[in-house]
Order: sequence, then C-alpha cells, then structure tokens
Amino acid sequence: MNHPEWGVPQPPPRTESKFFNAARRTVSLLVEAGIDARFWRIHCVRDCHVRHHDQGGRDAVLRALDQARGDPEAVLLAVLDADLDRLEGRLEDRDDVIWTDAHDLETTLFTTPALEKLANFHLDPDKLQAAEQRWRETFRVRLFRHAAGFGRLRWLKNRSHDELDLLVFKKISKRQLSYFDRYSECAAADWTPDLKIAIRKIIDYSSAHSLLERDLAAECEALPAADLHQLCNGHDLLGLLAAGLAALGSGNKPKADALAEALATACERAWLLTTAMWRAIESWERAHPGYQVLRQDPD
Amino acid sequence: MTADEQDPLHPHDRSAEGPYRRLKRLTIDDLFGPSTPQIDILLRLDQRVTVLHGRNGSGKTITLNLLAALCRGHFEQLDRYPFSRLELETTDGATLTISKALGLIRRRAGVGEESIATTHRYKLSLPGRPPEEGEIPRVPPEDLANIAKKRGFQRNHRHQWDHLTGDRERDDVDLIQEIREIYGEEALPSLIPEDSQLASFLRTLAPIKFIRADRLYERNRLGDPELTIERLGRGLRRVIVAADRQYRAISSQLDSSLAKRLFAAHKDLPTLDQLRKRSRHLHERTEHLIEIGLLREQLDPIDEAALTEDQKKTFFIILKDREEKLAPLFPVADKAQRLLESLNRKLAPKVVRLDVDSGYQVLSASGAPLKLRDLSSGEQHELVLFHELLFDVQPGSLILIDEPELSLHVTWQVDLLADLIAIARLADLDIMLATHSPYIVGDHTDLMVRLGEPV
Repeated sequence: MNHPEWGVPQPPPRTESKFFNAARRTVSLLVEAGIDARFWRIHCVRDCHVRHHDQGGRDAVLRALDQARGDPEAVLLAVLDADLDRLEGRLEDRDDVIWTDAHDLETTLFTTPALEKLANFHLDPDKLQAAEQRWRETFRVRLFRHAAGFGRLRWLKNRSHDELDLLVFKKISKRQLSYFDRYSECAAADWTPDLKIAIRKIIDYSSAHSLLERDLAAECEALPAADLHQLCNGHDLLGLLAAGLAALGSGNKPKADALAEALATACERAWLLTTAMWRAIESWERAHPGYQVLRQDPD
Repeated sequence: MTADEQDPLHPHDRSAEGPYRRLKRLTIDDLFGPSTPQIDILLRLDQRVTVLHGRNGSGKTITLNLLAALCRGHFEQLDRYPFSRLELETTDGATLTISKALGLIRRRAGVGEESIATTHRYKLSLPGRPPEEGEIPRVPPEDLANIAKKRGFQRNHRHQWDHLTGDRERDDVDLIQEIREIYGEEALPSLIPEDSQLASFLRTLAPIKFIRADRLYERNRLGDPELTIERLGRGLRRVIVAADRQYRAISSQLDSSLAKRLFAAHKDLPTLDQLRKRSRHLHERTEHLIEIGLLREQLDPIDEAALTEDQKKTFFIILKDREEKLAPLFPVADKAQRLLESLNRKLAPKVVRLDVDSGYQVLSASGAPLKLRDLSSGEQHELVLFHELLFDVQPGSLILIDEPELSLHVTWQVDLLADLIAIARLADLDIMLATHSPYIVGDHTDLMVRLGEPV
C-alpha cells in the first residue's frame, strides 16, 4: 500500500483508513513529502500507515483531514511543516495536526547532532576542524547563517510582495543548466555567507530581474529578528550543506537529495524524544487509546 | 386470501417484471454466536450501490449468502449459521424477522428418529395487514430421502449423503443445495403455502442475483466443473440466434409483401427532412450492429441525400421495413455496447465481438481468433461480472457481488465502481458488494458499511 509509484492514484486517505480500521486499529499518518514519509516509516509502528501528498502539499493534507473529520472509522493524523507560519503566529491549533518543531522536518532534524554526524561522515575531520578554526565558528553556525539569507528572502516573499512572487526557490530541473547551482555560487571565498550574493543568485535564477538587490537587502534587514530554526528552510539547508561539503573537499560530493535521505536515517531516536513533535504524537496516542503511531522504546 | 386482502404490491409470478419490494435494511444478531457484533446494513438506495467491508471473517460473504438464501426461499441454508435473529426491511415498510427456536424435528431421513434441534420461526409484517407468524417448514425427511434416492444419493454410516458416482460426502443442507443447483427448483417440493403472506412476500421481493467469488467455474448438470465464461458464451449465442431468427423471419415476411405494400395508398408520409434524418440514424445503428458482429451482412446503402419528392413513398416503405427488420437486434446491441466498450478498452489490443456462432468472439491483435478459456482470469472476471449484470438480470433486481476485485489490476479496480453505479442506474438495479479493495471504493466512502469490529 505504500507504493504510489505504481502510477495509479492512491485511494483517498479516508477510504484507506476505514479499510485498515475494519481489521486493526490503524493510524494513517499524512505528511507532505516523500522524504518525510520515509523518515516517519523508520520511527512508526507497522499499523501506522504513512502517506504523503507530494503534489498537493499542506493544503491537500488538510483537505484530506477535513474530509475524514466526524468519521470515527477513519483515523488520520498529520505531521506538517510549520513553515513561516509559526513566526507569523498563524499556526492553526488542530487536534489532528502536529507541527514540526522547526521550519520543516529537515530543519528540525538539522537541529539534532545528525548534522555533525553527516559532516563527519563526508569530511576529513582534520580539514573540518581546520576550517572551523579559520572561520571562528562551527560548521553548524555557518550553515545556518548561510541559510538565514535565503530564509529572509522566503519570508519577504511570504509576506506578499507581489513582485517577489517571481522569485523561484525551487530546485533547477536536470533538463536545465543544472550546474548553475545558486547554493554553491552564493558564498564568497571559503564558503563565507554573503546575503548580497545570495540575493543576486536568487534573482538570477528567477524571472524577477527587475528587482533591485539593494532594495531587497534593505527589506531583509528590516524584517524582525527571528529564531534561525524557524527561519531556515530545509531545502536551503540541504543545498547549502551539499555546497559546503564540496567546498571543503568532500571526496564524494553528495547531492542535496542524497543528503536528505542520509539525514533522515542519521537522526537517532534518542535525539527525537525531546522534540515537541515527538511529545505531541505521544500525547495524541494517550488521547486515542488503542491507536499507536511511534515504535515503542526498545529498552 | 381475498382480493381486498391483497398485498399493495400485487403478487405475481417471478417471471413478471416489477414492481418489486426493494430491500432497505438487513440486520443480523449474533451471526457467529452470542456477543458477536450486530450486522446492520442500511442500503445506500439513493446511490444504488452499497459496499460491505470488514476484516476476513467479519461475515461479509455469509451475509450475502444468507440474504440470497432468504430472498430465494432457500430456508434450509439458515441452518448453516448460528445467528439468533435476522430481519429484512423493505422500502414499503414490510419486515420479515427470522429467529431461531428449539423444536422437535426428525433429523434422520428414513430412520424416523426424533430429536431436539434448532428450528426457525418467522414473523412477517406487511403494511396494513395483521402480522403473520409461523415456523419455517423443512423438507420432510422421508421426502428428502425419496428425492435423493431417485438421483443416486444414499445415506452412509456417518449419516451423510454419498452419490453413486463419487465419494464426496454431503449433509442435508449440501444435498438440498446440490439438487437445486443441478436439477432446478422443481426437483424439490414447495414448502411455503401459496396463499400465505410469506409466499406473497417472497414473490414480490426484488429478484436476487448472486455473483460469487468463485464465479469463474461452476458445475454443469453432470456435476462436472466448467468455465462460467463458456456457459455465458453459449447463453449469449442463444440470445443472438433468437434475435437473428426474428430478424430473418421479419425480413422474409416483409420482403414477401413488399410489392403489395408499394402499390398500396399511403397517407401522412413524413417530410423529406424527417426521412433523411431517420435514414441517417438507421444507417449509424446498422454500422454499429456490423461493427460489434451482430449483423453479418452489409445492407444496400440508401442515398438519402439524393432523395426526391416522387421517391418519398418508396423510400419510406423501404426505410420502415429496415427499421422493423433490425428491431430485434437493437436491444441486444444496446446491452452489448456498454459491455464491449468497457471490455475492449481494457483488453486492448485484443478485441471482443459478438458472434452468431459462438456468442463471444475474441480476436488477438493480429485478428486471429482466441478461445474464451485463453483469456486471463482478470479478463474472465471482468467479462463474467458485466455479462451477468447486463444480460442475466431483470430490472429491479438486487445484485450481490462478492469480492469484485478478484484478479483485477488496480487500474481496473479504480474504474469498477463508476461502471457499476452507471449500470445500476441504467438497468434499475440495486447492488450490494463485499470488497477488500479501497481502490474500488475510491472517493465513495458514503457507500461503505463496515461489518465486525477491528481486532
């Protein structure tokens, strides 16, 4: 049932959940993307059926939840990206939705030691240590400083500047000139974060050529101070991490997609126990006796 | 029963078409013994299709079996299941309740022993009439023994029935069912008094068609298994041959009287435009008959565009003759069209056509004929299911389908419910199906009725 790649539309979550629940108490856990689904399948019990709405994103998940509301045989729960809505105070409080601790799932996972685990796996520890001494900051801090520029631009766009709608943050497709990677080009020498370069690259890869860099930089500066974990987007972090690893001489030059997979598997259960989303799921389980989402502690 | 006592839905023979009582609700208490959950099925009559789902062993197939047995008056089947109470409610407000009771029955045919066993009592409430109550009659043991003996069955030392030609054992219920399947209803005595309300109720209940999960094979009159699809092919051939004979008989009759009718006076002839329109319509339908294999000969084309006022009468007579000649073929074509459209879309590049000689004709991509038995099991399931729905049921029927998803690829499953709903509306059917496939249900969660509780 976890194979949407058959090319056949999956049955609606409500229908599927009713079928599962006719046999065993089963939770359908809805997430927004394939990587999220793979991550949660690692940590969920077999009777928690993890599904993602790759094309429809958060709106599709919320629609599916709304359709199932009031149907006691359809037991749906969603883990959704908070995105910038937590910064804006717009997160909806729903008993069938659990919001990620940070901006999204990837950013939440980056808040754990999984980042260091990845960096140490891909880089020569001596080289990494030398770079951190040279930078006078850790790899982690530098990565989040990089991503903060992109995060502010995304926030500006999110705040409905019409002309900023032209900014494109999505990954450049393989059919296009994919070697122009805004993440690898956005840094000054030695992978030094530079907001102006980031802004220029974002504009270069967009249709928003008429925007003035200095205006955008000023508007970014004028945004309120924000928690970097809420501001930084997981895709940016992954892209920048790939660029950073390449810049520091990682031999295998991992791509962002591969890093996303590695991040999902590198994150250890013990690190997740203290996250708010984990505790929220446990709380949901207590409120729904008989329905289990998370694997029990092996100890 | 006097005339003024008659049921508001007039009692009539099964062969007559409706109006029938539509089943509205079915409840079964203690299907698997005390404290098992009640089965309560409120049919989705507005949508025409009700979907039963539940884990294995929740009673889906048994529910369909019980319903089919009850509606057909095959009451011996009730012995199979340990329910305590069963109730049918129809849309006109009639209710039939069957409950188990302990009673004295003679269990062993020919031996005459008496024993305490379960019997079934019924209570029937028809609108505006006093309720009728009684015991569901059974085939008397001596009668069953005589019927069985005539057909080569005999009791063995384990009180089961053997047949002279095989070593398979059957109990009384199996035996009755087998006799009924092979020799027909007339092989068994009619137990319900004809003038009872129960008999009247059963006659007016919607006819049942049960499409079972093991629908690809069935037993013939010799008791041997045969492919259902081949029987259906033969059945369809009979339908086509009958229509073809009618077509030829009418053709011969009309052709022999053509000269006389050409010289007869005609009033109120249609206008030229009306005639052209009718001619074009008939031409299209004729092409369709040829395309699906129902008409083997090409009819001489009529050039309606060149029609003049002085040719109008002759043209009208020829056109009307052709309409009358082809009329017996159109009902078959209309039913076949939906079936063939659906099948040919799915079976491509194979092509299914109708054939006067063989019923169904299946052609490979190269045009070579294929045997029906060479179709895959999924293709056979699809053909059997839709053939039964389109050719083997009468309007107003209640169709029971067990696991329609069997052998079907998920893409076919996704299409199935929409096809069933369309056919049910078109042919005035109610459908109750039991399935394990969420692909079949799709968005139609409102049709779902769960049986049993999750473990």
